[in-house]
Amino acid sequence: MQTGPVPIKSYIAWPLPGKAAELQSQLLQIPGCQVLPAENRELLLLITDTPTEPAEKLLAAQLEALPHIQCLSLVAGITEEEAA
Amino acid sequence: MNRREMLIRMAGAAAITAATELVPGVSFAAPATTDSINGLTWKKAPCRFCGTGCGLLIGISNNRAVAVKGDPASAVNKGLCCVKGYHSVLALYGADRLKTALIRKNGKLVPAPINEALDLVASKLKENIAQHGKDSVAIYGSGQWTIPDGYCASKLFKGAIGTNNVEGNARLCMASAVTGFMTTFGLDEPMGCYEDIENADVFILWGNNMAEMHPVLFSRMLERRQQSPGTLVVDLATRTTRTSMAADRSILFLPQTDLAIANAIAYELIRNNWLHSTFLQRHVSFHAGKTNIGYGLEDKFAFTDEPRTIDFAAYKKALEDYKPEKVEKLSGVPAREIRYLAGLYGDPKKRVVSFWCMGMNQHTRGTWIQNLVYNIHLLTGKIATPGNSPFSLTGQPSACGTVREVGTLTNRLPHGEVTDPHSREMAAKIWGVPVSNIAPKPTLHTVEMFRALDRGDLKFIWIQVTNPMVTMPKLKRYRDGLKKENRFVVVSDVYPTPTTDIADVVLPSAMWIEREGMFGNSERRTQHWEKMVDPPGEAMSDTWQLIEVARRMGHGKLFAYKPETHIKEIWEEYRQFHHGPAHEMASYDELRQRPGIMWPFVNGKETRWRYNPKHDPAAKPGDTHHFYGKPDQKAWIWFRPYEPPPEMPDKDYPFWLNTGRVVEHWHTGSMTRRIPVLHQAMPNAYVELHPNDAKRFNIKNGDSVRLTSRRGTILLPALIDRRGRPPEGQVFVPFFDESKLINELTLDAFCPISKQPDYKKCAVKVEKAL
Ligand code: SF4
Repeated sequence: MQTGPVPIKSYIAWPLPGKAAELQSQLLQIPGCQVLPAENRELLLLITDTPTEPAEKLLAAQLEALPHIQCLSLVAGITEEEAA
Repeated sequence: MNRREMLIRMAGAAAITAATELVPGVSFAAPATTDSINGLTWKKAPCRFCGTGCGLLIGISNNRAVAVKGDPASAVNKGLCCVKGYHSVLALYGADRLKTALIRKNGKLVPAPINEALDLVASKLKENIAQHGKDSVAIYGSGQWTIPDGYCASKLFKGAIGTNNVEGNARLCMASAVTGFMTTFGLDEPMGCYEDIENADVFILWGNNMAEMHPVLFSRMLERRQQSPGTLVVDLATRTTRTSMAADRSILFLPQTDLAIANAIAYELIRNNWLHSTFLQRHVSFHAGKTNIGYGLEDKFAFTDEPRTIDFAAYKKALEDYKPEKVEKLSGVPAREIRYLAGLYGDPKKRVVSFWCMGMNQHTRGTWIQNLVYNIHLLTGKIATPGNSPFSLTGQPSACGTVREVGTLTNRLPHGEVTDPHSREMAAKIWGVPVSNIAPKPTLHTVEMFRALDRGDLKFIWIQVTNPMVTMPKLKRYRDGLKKENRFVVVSDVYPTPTTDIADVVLPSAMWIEREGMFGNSERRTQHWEKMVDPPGEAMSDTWQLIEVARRMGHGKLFAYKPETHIKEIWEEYRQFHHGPAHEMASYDELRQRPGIMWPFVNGKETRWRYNPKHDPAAKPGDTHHFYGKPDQKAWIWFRPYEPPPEMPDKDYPFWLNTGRVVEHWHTGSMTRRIPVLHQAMPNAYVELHPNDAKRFNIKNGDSVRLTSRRGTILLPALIDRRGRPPEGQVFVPFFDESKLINELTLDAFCPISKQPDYKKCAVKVEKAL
């Protein structure tokens, strides 16, 4: 089985209607999350960077528990060590 | 900026690009950043996994694939990918990759040089053909075969050896979709394309958990709903899933009763006169076939339908049996919900897409249910125009491109049926073999192929890129059959599996971007990729394995392709089969340049909506539609009744068992279970129960549960309300876990027309294991 560093991932996050601001503030409270809100649409980009697999697992659980997400679409995953 | 910050900006830039493609006009404050980093080069490939066929960009560094992002230039996914897609390159690097051939000696598989293994495969093929005849050998592949793999398999077995013993896992996956298309339209594959999503007002999902099985298309559908308020998603299913949670309406029906529901919708359309009369008059004819058609449970089961033409009045009369109140009793769906569905289909202002996949395909009346959903679209004229689309999705990345278009099924040739003299002549001419080489009758479909191995009628099978010792229903019979004396089993794969475990020879395969290839996805889109990294050890592409064996058998002249150009040569040879406006395919050079091209591809133009003269070069101009696949130039509405499944819950086995997939794992999990993140996210199979049933048996999450059917028994941990929820009296188990083989319990009943087994319905009993 493959082991290695946890990849940096980016997602498009679709908030529930009218909930973009709440979703953004909740995401920003989660360690390892960077958020880039769209300027003119109800849509956020989420970039996650976690150092270890347990941290990654915790983050995934926190994302899953967020009430204001309608859908999270994965875009990319890049592993630091492997790109070296 | 340090390296990690650079990677974060790369991931962010990929997301910006994807969002911009998906939501035109969206803007972000952050600056875009460069995608190039220290020699990392990005190359295009379709995703290795599902039939959606997302375009990916693979980051390569030092002969190793290290990063993935959705390809913003791909019309399929517009820069998105799902959890499987973006982890896909890790599947290349599992620690136990097969790097050398293995040969069974004294009962044990031992490493051997690949040339020795290929010699043995060729000599065993020749020996069996000499002793037992050409129909004693077979090849079994899948919709994960690249197009060149499938083409070479068909050419070797059907053209050179002269047997129609060519099948693929796609028989277990989408054969009913094929027979549905053939019986209704006379030609295979969808008339529409994914662009229907951005044009539809209503989506009706027939037993299709898109949130887990086709997540990128599901995202596109939700995006459509967000962009266009009023867009509706209706989930019509036998179990509550992530798809149901996101849908505007979730309607649950009892297994098999989709047949009755579809007829009840048609009944309501007629009763309310929500019909498109001009369309019906000009483009539709009415038909009926045999009834009480059986289930294929016995060996050598045979069935041939006898279609007869009926008129509209007879069709209308037959539907009298399907009044919503009557169907409510059978299906559990309230009559008002059936009328609601009919109202959506019948509203002339609403454009409707119906999506389906395994729920309708893996069905003992799989062909019929496809016919019945087409009926609804035909009655209302909602077909082959943007946003009006009955859309059969596929599970495997090249189920369409390889199995359906190349024709790697016993009854098919790259063009047409083996029974058609013209198709045989065409194949003989292009392949350079005497027409007498090509047998005029289909032989063994998949279930019958494995039955023949058990009986001993078949002596040799070569299995490539699939794992039947996990996927066959009623597994024990077929596993025992393959292990019998005097059966010779060759398996080409990338990892050890329960199928390689029982092989006599294992050939290590080059995987996906370790070789050049093409896949064809669910919307008639062919996608090419180049070889990007070297395969490990002696691993060799399935295409080249076939060529090597063909040459060793004395068929070198037919397989005189050069190593450096063989994929181009094979593609250009193959596409001759499809010349003409109805199926013209792009040239190799065009495929190399673009992220994917939909056929028919005529004068540099893709066809997005077939049978629509505005878009389809094969359709005669002068009308809104031209269904040119059937001899009467019409689409066929079929009356097909509800018939019960062969096995239903009873007092001994009181639960329905439904099986399927999960978002984290691809098919039998042989690749995705070697990706740590996916494996950890979903480490093992489970049994999903309704909380009331769990309470009744005093079963809590994680408790061990024994499931037993008439064919086998299995222990599984319980999962209650964590992912999906079956109704009371039903359980669901995913099939990806080779250590918990749910197919020990399933039934090998199949649709008599498509011969596709039903993995969605059989009877089991549930006990808490102590
Ligand atoms: S698994 Fe399917 S949906 Fe996911 S990225 Fe691959 S093709 Fe797309």
